[in-house]
Amino acid sequence: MTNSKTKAKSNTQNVQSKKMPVFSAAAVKRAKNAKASSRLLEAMKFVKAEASVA
Amino acid sequence: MSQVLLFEKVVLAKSYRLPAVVKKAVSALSPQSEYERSWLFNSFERSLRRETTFYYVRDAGNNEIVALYTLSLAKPEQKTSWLIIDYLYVLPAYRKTHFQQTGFKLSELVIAEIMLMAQKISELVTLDLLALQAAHQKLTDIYISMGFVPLNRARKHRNEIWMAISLNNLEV
Repeated sequence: MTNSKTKAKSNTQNVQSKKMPVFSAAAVKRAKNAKASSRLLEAMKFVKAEASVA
Repeated sequence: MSQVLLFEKVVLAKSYRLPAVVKKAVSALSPQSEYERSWLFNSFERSLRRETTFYYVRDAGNNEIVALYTLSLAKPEQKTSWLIIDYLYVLPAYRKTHFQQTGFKLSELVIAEIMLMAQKISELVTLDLLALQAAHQKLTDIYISMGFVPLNRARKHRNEIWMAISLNNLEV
């Protein structure tokens, strides 16, 4: 009984969350408005297209 | 173009609890400094403790490892949900130049893949920002060119350079 409970727990164990440092509200707001550059968007399109041919 | 990269989530075997096994794995990745070596050790250890998720990036042509990265989720606070790149490591031979004929650096392709993964996750749960710590000042320019912005700490704290980018309104 104990063994099966232990096994069930380890099977459902997830990666633990970590605590982020505290950033200024202005910095977080700026980050929320930070958009991917056109080059990064192109790279994302490339990886996405590449995955579809796998 | 046929597939050039494979992104592989790795669950480390129990044998990685042995320091000699980790040491061998780290050496095989050719770290160029004590800083890189210690981050690689840290990545293996944190992955074993299930504090981070470990990924290898392989060259689809020969299956060789060309990069690795580790990801984790931060506890939501202040109405912000974060996905964190704990560590991104590109093997020395693949730095600075474009990866094969892709026209992109390997680091750009890895960040692009992580952004696509984050996009999928954000369809299921709220995810606002992708964050990382730049290893040194020179890397900040590279991340800024991708769209990341530096995050100022509320209080000055060591020499960490945190950067983040929005995961909302991505249209790919």
